[in-house]
Amino acid sequence: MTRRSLPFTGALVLAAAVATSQPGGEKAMFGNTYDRNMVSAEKGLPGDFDVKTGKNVLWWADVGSQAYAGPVILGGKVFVGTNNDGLRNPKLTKDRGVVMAFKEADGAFLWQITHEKLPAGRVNDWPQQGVCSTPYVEGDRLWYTSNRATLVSVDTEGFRDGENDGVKTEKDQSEIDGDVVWEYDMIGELDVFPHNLAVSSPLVVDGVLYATTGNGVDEGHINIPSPRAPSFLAVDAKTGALIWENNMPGDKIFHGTWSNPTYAVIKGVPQVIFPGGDGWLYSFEPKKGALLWKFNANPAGSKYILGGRGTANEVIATPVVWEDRVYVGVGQDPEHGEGAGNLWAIDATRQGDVTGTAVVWHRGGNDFHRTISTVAIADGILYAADLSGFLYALDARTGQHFWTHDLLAAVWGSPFVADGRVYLGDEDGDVEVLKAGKTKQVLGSYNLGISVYSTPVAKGGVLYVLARNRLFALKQGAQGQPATPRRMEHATGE
Amino acid sequence: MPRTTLSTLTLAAALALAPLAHAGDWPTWRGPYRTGVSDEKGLVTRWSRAGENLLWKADLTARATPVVFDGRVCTSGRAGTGATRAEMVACFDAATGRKLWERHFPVYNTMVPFTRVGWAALAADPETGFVYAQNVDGQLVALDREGGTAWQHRMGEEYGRGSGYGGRTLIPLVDEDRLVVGSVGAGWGDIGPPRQRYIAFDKRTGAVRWISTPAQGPFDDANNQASPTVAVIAGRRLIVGGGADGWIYAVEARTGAPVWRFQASVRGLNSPPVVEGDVVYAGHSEESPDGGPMGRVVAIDGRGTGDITKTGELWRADGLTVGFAGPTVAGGRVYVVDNAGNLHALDQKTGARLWSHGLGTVGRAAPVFADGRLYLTEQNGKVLVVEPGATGAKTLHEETITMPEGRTAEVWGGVAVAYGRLYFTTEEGLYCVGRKGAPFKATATVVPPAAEPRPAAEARAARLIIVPAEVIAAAGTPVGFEAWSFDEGGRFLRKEKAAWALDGLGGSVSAEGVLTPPAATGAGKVKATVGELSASTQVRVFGPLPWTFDFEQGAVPRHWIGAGPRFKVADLGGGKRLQKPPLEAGLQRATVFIGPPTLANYTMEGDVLFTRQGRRAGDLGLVNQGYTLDLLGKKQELQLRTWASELEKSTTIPFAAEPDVWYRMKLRVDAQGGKGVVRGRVWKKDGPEPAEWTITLEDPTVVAAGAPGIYGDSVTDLYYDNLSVSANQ
Repeated sequence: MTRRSLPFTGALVLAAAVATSQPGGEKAMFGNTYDRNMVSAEKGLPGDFDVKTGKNVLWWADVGSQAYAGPVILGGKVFVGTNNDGLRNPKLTKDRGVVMAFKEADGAFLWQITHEKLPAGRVNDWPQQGVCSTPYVEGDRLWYTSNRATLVSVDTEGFRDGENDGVKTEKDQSEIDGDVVWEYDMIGELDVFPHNLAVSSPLVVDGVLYATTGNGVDEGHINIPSPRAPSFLAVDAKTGALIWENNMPGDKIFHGTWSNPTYAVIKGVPQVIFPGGDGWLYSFEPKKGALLWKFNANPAGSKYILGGRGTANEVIATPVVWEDRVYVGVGQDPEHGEGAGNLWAIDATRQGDVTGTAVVWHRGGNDFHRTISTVAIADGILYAADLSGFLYALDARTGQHFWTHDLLAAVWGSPFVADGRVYLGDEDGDVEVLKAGKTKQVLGSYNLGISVYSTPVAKGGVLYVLARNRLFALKQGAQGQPATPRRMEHATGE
Repeated sequence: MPRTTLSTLTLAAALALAPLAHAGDWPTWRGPYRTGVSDEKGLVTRWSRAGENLLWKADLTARATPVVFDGRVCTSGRAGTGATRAEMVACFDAATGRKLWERHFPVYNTMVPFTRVGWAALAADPETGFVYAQNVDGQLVALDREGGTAWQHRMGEEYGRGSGYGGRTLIPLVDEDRLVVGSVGAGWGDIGPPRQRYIAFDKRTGAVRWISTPAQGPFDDANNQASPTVAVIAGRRLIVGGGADGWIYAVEARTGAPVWRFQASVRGLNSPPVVEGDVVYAGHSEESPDGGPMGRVVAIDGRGTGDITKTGELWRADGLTVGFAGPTVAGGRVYVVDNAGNLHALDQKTGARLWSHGLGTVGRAAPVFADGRLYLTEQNGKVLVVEPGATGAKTLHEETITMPEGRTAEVWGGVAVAYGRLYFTTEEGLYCVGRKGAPFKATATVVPPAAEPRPAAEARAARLIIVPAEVIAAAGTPVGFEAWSFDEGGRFLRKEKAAWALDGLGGSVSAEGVLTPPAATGAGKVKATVGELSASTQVRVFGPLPWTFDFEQGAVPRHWIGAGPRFKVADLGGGKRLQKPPLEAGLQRATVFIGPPTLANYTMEGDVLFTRQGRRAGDLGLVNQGYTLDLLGKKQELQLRTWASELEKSTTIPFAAEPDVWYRMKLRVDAQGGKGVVRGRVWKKDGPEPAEWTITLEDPTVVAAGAPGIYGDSVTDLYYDNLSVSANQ
């Protein structure tokens, strides 16, 4: 999103959000802005597309065999997190976490940075999942969490600019390799035990990077091996030096810590809001890390049961701030199955334990299921999806229900609202397009042939959809190459 | 069931007569042919929880496909609350739903959570009347008609089967006079390396017939469920199963000799293959070894030998994430259900995708084809009847099962078709669906034996196995062995007169193959030679208690299960100690079993020491009869537990312990009348032994017997010394 264009859009809501929470230069991140609201002021986006014929397809580019992070677009480049099955650098074999950079104009591959897997294996770094952290990009720097539970700052140009910034000891320094500025090891420095994978999509505000650590249970799923290690931390974005850490919720983590921080200035008070692995939200004063408020997103009486059948859930979705309220749904690892969920609108102006007292409205029981999707709010209407495949349109201020749409397939990604439409991808590879508004109107369903587990993004009139193994750039009026069956070089053998 | 009137009875009888001609039992979870195909006709195509065509429902919680035989329907499941939580096996009258018996098994030495207990379906054997269960914790049990234990094994403690958190468990398979069970893990000696294995037992006695290790390398994840099947392909009777390493293996059913292997995926397999004719059909949802999108369904020519990855593939259908549900082949089509709950029909000859049909969002259970229709389940409570056609499918009926609190019930298993009825389990109960008033008759499904050439009269012996295999013997108690020969096709020839010898084992073996084991603990091999053929099998001999281990001989005892490369003997403080250094790769947690699982009411003792590095420190302790006494160095706690993921049955107390200091531990179990008291004592080794027990656990459902062992979990060095196992005083 280009903020310069915003005053002309008449999207007062967005403008207000930007005015309060988006200082500094141009930036890109999961959820586009600090408030993580999955909306955009982009116009002229394609209302339909056909990847088999190339209709309204600007370009497509192959990533690894699995991709869950991004895309983010800035400075003429598109960045995604994926695994190494694309084998873009044939010298770098085996399973790895990868961040790839493509040229925004035509999808040409520019460079990649790779991370070997942690030797502990799946308990800390699940095979083939790649980098699941959507990078934060600002200026010529990009920050993300690697599969090795390191926070990484890299040069957006890679080594293509002929310079080696920061760290000088990268093993791979060809022009298609990434240029590390600094790397902070959360396992080695802080004894973090990332459960299955560290995935946090960080934020950088005023030179400070905020991230969750991924701390969680060991392979037995009941013991927190590192209860004193932080779940939340702040580091210097320039140097990677630790500024503060907080180990809440300690040994109360149910499973892992897989959500992302959100930043907002609410009634003049800056807040960084972290979802905890215990199903609570924790809001901190950003500079020193003092707790402002906390909220239990599981109703009283909820119980977490090992294996997935309980009623207490985690926060895997990312909180969204809109009109001084925080909106978030709860859910579990999709492997735990579907189940009852809760969607909350919380007043973020209060202090202390605001469980119950800060609730503006709540939807739960059998009216909302487990979710790992982040909400989108546009023109006062909140769009929320759940793992069971339902998309809901609700009044963001009151929770009033406008409509529900059943996608008939599991949804992991988030609804994205732009140009008067709601775009939502699902596990069957369909991108469902609906008219934004209080009345349900399905405009179409367009299959990409590959599951979609991420959230669409728009920039420069182009809609980007990251399917599991391929990135599509969709533009009204474009005629691209018909999508061919996906081949993989397969880097991951013995 | 409501009272029936004469007219409805007559009508029902008329309806029932002709169509049920083929009605029979469903003795394996995939039916009489192990293909998911039923011969039955006249099945109902709709039913309702409210009562339409609902014959009976039994209260239980299960996630496995039931087996139906001998007029009974049996399933595994879970039962109990709090400290009585257990794995359950139950049998019901297939006509009425009356419960015949229910057995509970305490779950121990595992991390699998309660909600995943009972994941493997049972195997039934109409010949003996036994049902066989492999529980999530590796308890393998044969239950007789009355539910009594005919025989049992502990797969982990005896053969090194791993039991992680995931809980997916390989379903046992009855084949001729054997029970074949898949096992993934690391044991000792020949079965020491971490591999996918198959173990065949004598189905009547539980004696090991053979152990097969067809895998060439380590596995991806011990939590796998591509359960084995059996078929005669090109005259060879083969066990075909999907490995935890992504390979599909075929081994000879009677000898375990590996025949062929095919790499389907780079990750472990969970979708059980089926065999139709000479072709093996299999699916997965992960990366394929030669690229392509995630997921593939593949047809493999099962007539090959050796590595047939590049030569055996008949066709592939890429991009179908069939990771859990097994395929079903009927009427020239291969039906598969993908992970996202979509049913696909593929051309049996070419693999071409004919059509797809949405069932829901989560696909886990294999389809069943019967009477021209597909009977399916979807994990979110759905039971569906689908009519497949040439160009598409139509859902005839869909019923959603919910829990009392309103959410959908989990349905993991598929449908069993028997006696003209449908049987299936859910989180909410066991259902029997069929035509009301239709006469009930329990008849066995007669499956003609697969055509197999008889061995030639003068056939040359090509294989030799020693029976029993992988024996645990008591010191001084003789064990008789036999040498069995087979022809080139793996067909039994005869019991041979062999020349017998011992390798690394004390005691003696007679010319008739009778082993007189040594008087003390030891391990080695019994060898048989017949002409140019030879065979060997492993034997572990356990002497009477007490046992002591001081490691001064410098080696880890070779008969321990699971010690592998994880443990070694190292010098520390002027003595030789057992050390568990941090592994460079893989999980740091390890349990080593040092004796047989038949020991009961004993005391285990040992010295333990953990080390610290920065914020990191280790956990370590002792295992006695299914109970672990764990000194949690980092948490500064002492825990006594039996089931690591269900701590309602455990005791945890604060315990200030210092790194680099030797502590002495004592762990004693007293089991009597189904209940037990477990007591632990821990003190600084250089101080006096306290008079009182440090920690106690009372168990209302005690583990009756179990192997002694040691436990450790750390990224820093752990040490053990002066271990002993002695009978309770």
